[in-house]
Amino acid sequence: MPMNTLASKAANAMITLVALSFIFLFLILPILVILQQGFSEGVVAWWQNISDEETLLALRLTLTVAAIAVPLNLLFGIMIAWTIAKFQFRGRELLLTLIDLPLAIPPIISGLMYVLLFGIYGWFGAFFNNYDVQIIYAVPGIILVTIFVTLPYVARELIPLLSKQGTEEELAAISLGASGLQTFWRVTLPNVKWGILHGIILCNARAMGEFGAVAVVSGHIRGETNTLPLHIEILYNEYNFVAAFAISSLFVSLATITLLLKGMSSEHHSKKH
Amino acid sequence: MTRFTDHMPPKFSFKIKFKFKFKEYSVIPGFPLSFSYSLIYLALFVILPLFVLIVKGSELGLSGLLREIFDLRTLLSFKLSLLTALVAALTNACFGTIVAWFLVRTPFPGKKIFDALIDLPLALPTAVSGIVLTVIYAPSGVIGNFFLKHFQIKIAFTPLGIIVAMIFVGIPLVVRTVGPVLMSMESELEEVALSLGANKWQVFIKVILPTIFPSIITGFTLAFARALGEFGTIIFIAGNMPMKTEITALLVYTKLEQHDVASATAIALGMLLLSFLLLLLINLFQSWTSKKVTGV
Amino acid sequence: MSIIVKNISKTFGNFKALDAIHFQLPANNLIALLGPSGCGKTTLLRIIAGLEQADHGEVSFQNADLLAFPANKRQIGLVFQHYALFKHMTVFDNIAFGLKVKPKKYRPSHQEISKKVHELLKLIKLENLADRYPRGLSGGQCQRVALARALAIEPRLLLLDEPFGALDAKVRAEMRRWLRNLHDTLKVTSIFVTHDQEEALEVADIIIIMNQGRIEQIGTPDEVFHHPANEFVMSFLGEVNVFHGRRDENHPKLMIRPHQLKIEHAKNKSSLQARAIRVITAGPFVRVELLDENDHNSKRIQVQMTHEQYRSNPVLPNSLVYLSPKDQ
Repeated sequence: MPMNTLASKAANAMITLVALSFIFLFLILPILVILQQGFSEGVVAWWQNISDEETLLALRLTLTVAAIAVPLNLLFGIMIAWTIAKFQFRGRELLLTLIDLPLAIPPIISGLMYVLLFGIYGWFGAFFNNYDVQIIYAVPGIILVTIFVTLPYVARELIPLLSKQGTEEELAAISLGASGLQTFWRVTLPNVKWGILHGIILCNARAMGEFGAVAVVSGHIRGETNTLPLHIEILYNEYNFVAAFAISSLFVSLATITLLLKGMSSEHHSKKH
Repeated sequence: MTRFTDHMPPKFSFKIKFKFKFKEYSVIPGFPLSFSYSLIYLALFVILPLFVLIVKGSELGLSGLLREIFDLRTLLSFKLSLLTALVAALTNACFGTIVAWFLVRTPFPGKKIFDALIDLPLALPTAVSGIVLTVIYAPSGVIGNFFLKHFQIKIAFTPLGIIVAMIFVGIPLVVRTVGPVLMSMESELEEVALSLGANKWQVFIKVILPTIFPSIITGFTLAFARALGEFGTIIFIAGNMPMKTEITALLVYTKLEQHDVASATAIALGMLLLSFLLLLLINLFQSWTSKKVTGV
Repeated sequence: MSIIVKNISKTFGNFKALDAIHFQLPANNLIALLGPSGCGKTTLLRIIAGLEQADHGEVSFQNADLLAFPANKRQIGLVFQHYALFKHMTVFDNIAFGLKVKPKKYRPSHQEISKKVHELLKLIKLENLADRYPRGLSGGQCQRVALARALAIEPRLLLLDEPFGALDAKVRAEMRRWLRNLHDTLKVTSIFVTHDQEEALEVADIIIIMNQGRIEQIGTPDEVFHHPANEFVMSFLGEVNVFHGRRDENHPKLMIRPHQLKIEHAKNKSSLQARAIRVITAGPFVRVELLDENDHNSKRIQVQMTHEQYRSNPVLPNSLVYLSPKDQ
C-alpha cells in the first residue's frame, strides 16, 4: 500500500472526517435504523413477524428460486470462464459483452423483456397457454428473470481469476497424463475455489434480493408468487413497518455474511500472489 | 561427423492456405462443450429477450415510438430521471473519490470494516434499502426531521429523495473503480515530483489527479447508468406523483401494471437508447481527456 | 533407438516459426536446442510434447510415431520454464500427481506411489521438504521438484524448456552440474531448450543450433565451437572479432575469436595496427579492448590472453600495438 507522503495531518483529518461522515450517513445509519425498527417491539414481536405464515411462504419461494437460479448460473459461469480464459478464439470480446448485458439493463426492462416473451401477447405466451403452463405471473417467470439478472456474477468473478492463472498448470497436468476432467477437478478448480465461493455468494445475494425485475413478472399473488423482497413492499405499503423491517433485518445478516466472505476471499487471493 | 548432418530440408511446394481460423490450437480439452453450452445459455437467457424487445419495439413503428415518448408525462419522467441521476453521479464522483482516498491512503484503525461496508448497496435487496432510506429521510425520520426543522427542506417524496436513493446505490461503483487505481499508483512518482521541487498541491493537480481522473469518470459513468435504471430503492422514497416525482423506470412499471405493454415497450426502448447514447458520449469524453492527459 | 524429427513446419499467422526442421539423433543423449529468442526452439519442444500442433511433419521416438498420441498419452516428461508447479499441492502431491491420475488398472497402490515419490525426493535431495507448498520453496528447489514430477511418470523422453532461465547466476551454475550428473545416472533421452551458449556447451552431449525457424548446425559441443558451420554459429557461440577484408572479393570477412589473436609490439607483414583502449585484468583471463588505427569507426577489437602471457608481454592503455592471428 502506498504510504502517505503527500497529505498533511490537517488534510488527512479532513479526508477522514468527510469519508467517515459519508460512510456513516449512507451505510451505517441505514443498518442501525433497520435493526432498531425491526426490534422496536421486542424480540418476541420480531420472531412473530418472521415466523408469520405468509412470510414463511415468501421465504420458501425465495429459497426455491435461488436454489434453481444459482446452480444454473454457477455451471454457466464455470463453463464460460473456462471458454474465455483458457482458449483463444474469435468473438471472445462479444461473449464478454453479452455476459455483462444483464448488469447494464435496468431491472424493470429485464422484467419487461420476459413479459414480451412469455406474457399472454408475447411470442411464446400462446404456446405455453395451450399446454396450461403459466410463466408470467407465476413461479417459472420469477425463476427466469432471476436467472437473467444474476447470470453475470459467477462468470465475472471467475474469468479474471482463471485468465490470471494462465494455462501452464493445466498443460503440466496434461503432460503428466491427466485427462481433461482430472485436469479440471484436480488442478483448475482447487485454485479458484475461493473465487467460486465468492461468486456463488454474490449471485445468491442478488437472486434472493432481486426486486424490480421480479415485481414485473410476479403478479403479487400472496402466498404464491410473493418473494421476500416483494413481501417487504406489501408489508411496508400496509404500514406494517415493524414486520417489514424485521424481514429486512434478515437481509442485513445475509448481506453481512456476503460482505465478510468477500473480504475473506479477496484477502486470500491477495495473499497468494 | 556426418551422422548428425542429415538435416537438410527436403524441398516442398509452397502452398497458400485459405482457411478461416476460428480458434487457436490448444491441448486443453473441453472447448467444444464449454463453448457451445455457454453460447446456447446466453442465446436463451440474454440474446432472445433482448431480441424480442427490439422486435416488439420496432413493430410499433417510428411514429408509434415517438408518440409514446413525446407524451408529456413520459418526457417529464425522462427529465427527472436524467437530472437526478446526473446530480447523484456527480455527488458520488466527488465523495466516492474522497472515500477511496480514505480507504487506500489514510491510516485509520479498523479500516477493513469500512472497506467491506462499501459494497453494502450491492449486497442489500433494493426494497430493503428503499424502505430504510425512506424512513430515515421522511419528515418524521432522523435526518428528514432535522432538515425540515432547521432548513424547511423536505427530502423524502421530493426529487431530493430520489437523489439520496441514487447516491446510495452508486457508492460502491465509484469507490471500487477509483480505489484500485489509487492503490496501484506508485508513491515513487509523487516522491520524484516532490524531489523535483513541486509543492504538495502541484503534485496533487499535476501527478495524482491526471492518473485517477479517467477512473473517476468511469466510476461516474457506472453510477450514472445505475441511477438511471434503478427502481427498487427509489420508488419508496420518491413519492411517485405523475409529472412531478415519477421516474422513467416507475412509469414503465405503471404502464405494465395497466397492461399497456406497447407503451411500456416504447418507453423502455427510449430509456435504453437514451442511456446508451449518454454512455457513448461519456466514453468519448473519457477517451478525449485521457488522450489529453497521456498524450497517446 | 533414436529420435527422428522429419520435415516439421509451423506457421503462426504470417510468421514462419519452424521451416522444415529435420534431424535424427541417437537416444540416451542430453540434447540442447540452442538459439536466440524467437528462433523456434520452444515451438519445436512444444510440438514434440504435444502442446502445439505442427502444420506438417513427423516426430518419432524409438520407432513410435509420437504425433499420433494426444499430449496426455505421450509419456513425455516436461519441465516448464517457470516450473508450473501445482500451487495448491505439497511437494509430495506434486510429484505423485502423474501416478495418481493414471487409469485405475495401471495406477500403482498408495504404498508404491509413496515409495516412488520418496525415492525421487531422495534423488533431488529434498526429502525433508515433502510437506511444503511450492510458495515456500526457492527457485532452485522448485526446479528440482518440477524435474522429479516429470521423472515420476518414467518418461520415454524428457523435455526441459529453459530449465535454468529463471534462476540467478550462482544457482544456475550449480543446477547445470546437477542436471548433467543426473543425466549420467538416469540416461533418459533429454532435450533442453536454451538461449545461453555457455549452458549448452557445458551441459549437452549434442547441440542443435537454430535460427529463424531453421537448423544452422548440429554437432557435439566441441564440433560446433571449433568448427562452426557458418557465420551465425560462429558469432552465436561466443565473442568474435569481425575484420572486413579490404578490396579482396575472395575474403570479404575474417572472423576470429578473442583468444585466437595475439598482441605484439613490433610490426610484421600481416599484422594490424591498433590502439589499446582498456585492459581488464580482473577475472580468470586478461581482456584487452583495442581500436583499429586505420578505421576509428569500427567496433572495438577484443583480445583475450592468460595472465602468464600478459605478464610476459604487458599492454599499456593508449599504447600502439600490432595484432595478428595466433598460429594454430
